[in-house]
Amino acid sequence: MVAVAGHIGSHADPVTSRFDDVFRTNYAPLYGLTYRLLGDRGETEDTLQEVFIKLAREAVIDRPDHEVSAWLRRACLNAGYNRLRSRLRAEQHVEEAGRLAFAERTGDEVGPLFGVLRREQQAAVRRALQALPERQRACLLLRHAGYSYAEIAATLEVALGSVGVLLARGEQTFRDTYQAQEGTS
Amino acid sequence: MTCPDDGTLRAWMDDEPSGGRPGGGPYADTAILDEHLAGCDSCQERTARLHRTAGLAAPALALLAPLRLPTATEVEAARVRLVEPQLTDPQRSGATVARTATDTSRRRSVRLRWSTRPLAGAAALVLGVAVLASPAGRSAAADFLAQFRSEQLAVVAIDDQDVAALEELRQLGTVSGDQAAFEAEPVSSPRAAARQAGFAVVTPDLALLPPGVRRTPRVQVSRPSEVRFTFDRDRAQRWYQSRGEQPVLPDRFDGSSLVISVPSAVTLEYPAADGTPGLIVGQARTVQAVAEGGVTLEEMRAFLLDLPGLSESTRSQLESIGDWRSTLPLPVPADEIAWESTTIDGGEAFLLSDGSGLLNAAVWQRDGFIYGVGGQADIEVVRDVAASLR
Repeated sequence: MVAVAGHIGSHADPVTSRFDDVFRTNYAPLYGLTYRLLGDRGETEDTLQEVFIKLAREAVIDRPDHEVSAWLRRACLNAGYNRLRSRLRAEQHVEEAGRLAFAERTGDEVGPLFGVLRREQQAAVRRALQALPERQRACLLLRHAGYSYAEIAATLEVALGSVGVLLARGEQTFRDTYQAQEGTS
Repeated sequence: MTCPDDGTLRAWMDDEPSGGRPGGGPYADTAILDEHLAGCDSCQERTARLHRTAGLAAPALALLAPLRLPTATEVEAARVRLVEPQLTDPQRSGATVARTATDTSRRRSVRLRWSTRPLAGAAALVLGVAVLASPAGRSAAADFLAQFRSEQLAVVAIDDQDVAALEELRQLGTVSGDQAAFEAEPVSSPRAAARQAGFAVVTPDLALLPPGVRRTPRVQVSRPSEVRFTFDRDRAQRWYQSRGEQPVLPDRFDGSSLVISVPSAVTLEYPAADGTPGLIVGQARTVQAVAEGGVTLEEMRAFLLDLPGLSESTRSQLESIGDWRSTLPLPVPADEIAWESTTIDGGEAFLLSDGSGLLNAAVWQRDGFIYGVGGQADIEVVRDVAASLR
């Protein structure tokens, strides 16, 4: 049992309406970002729950909106990376047991044909992304989820001028790795 | 003047500030950068290279995007899930709350719902075929054994609510069948597949395949099989009781079955250079179904159309299928897949497209076969390949 002190639940309290506002404004965009990392609906929902529970305990909730949003994005990316690492360990375990088919999980079954195609293509993109340093990977995901350079800089806690460099290097590494996969299956 | 670095050029491409990056120097001013670029061949080349690299990454990363974002209603439901355990427990103060096993199991049940979607797909097939029977103009004698044979397809748009309703349907009976038959078996060639499946296998005009796709297909065959859904009164009763609801399954449904003949199918998969399926061509015999036991197909249909939970839109789409004896409904998640009807080789067909626009497919039925073509190809390519099958 984990005790959570904070802003959740005291609905007469102004801080709770602050929490609710933050939740409603940020949930959908954070879902878009976290799903890109995890590719699984259930895991994305779980991650967002963890992050918002954590937010309720943090003083950052009283900071201006853009700072709270940047904190949330950073927390989602970190929690997502942690999940990816433990999933990787679990998959290695499953693979050893000879049940590889169960390792590839996805939350969105959109018919057998689309399901198979999307899963395989997404897996290829994710393999290429794994080769990137975490900051470059985060930079690519954030940019392609539609965030501005200023929002990316705030999320990654880097100077605004570093975003272009991270992005250019990330894309170059991604391209090299992605193309190196060709001919292998 | 020294040239701007890659980061400054990359920011310029996105029309974003480079933030006075050290080394970016005067180029934080876009006008100065524009002027420099106009006169510097080397920087123009680097910009072109950065464009190419970004151009490759963009569509690949677009594949990772969810097909849709949560709606306002879903966000609200997620917020309530988070807040509710605290609001409903008077023992807890607003300042300190505890997350308990209840909350964990709540989240687990949400996960379970999604991972059971393939099963829901099987239930959709059961419902889909069952509702084909319509009461109009049927003689009482024919009701003992109503038959269905698919001759054409109709797209029925479904939503999450329908998927949930169909999952509930599974609680009213048991599904049995030879599950192993669904496992496709690899064979060496279309000819070998034809021998095994017992029908002539069509192949596409290879010149029409998308660029970069290998010309030698991986060929798979699945055996024909039978899926049987048998209504079970006791099981249904227990389920209604667990939910505190009044039973709605009539007693005489107990033991009646819907038997669906799933046909033998052949798939030709033309792999992309990276080993993923580039384009898939599928061919199957028609689907057939019969009702067994004391209940007719139209009684099953009437009952299933009355399932609480089934959305009004789906209900009316299913009811409006005129030629119920021979029309196979194709359940399509409306918020995830776009579709339109078209003609392929003179017959009616459906074009399906996923949210990213990168995956497209065509399905149609003709001369006793159901055909499908789909993959990472433009919709025009899919249509041309589909029309070229011989």
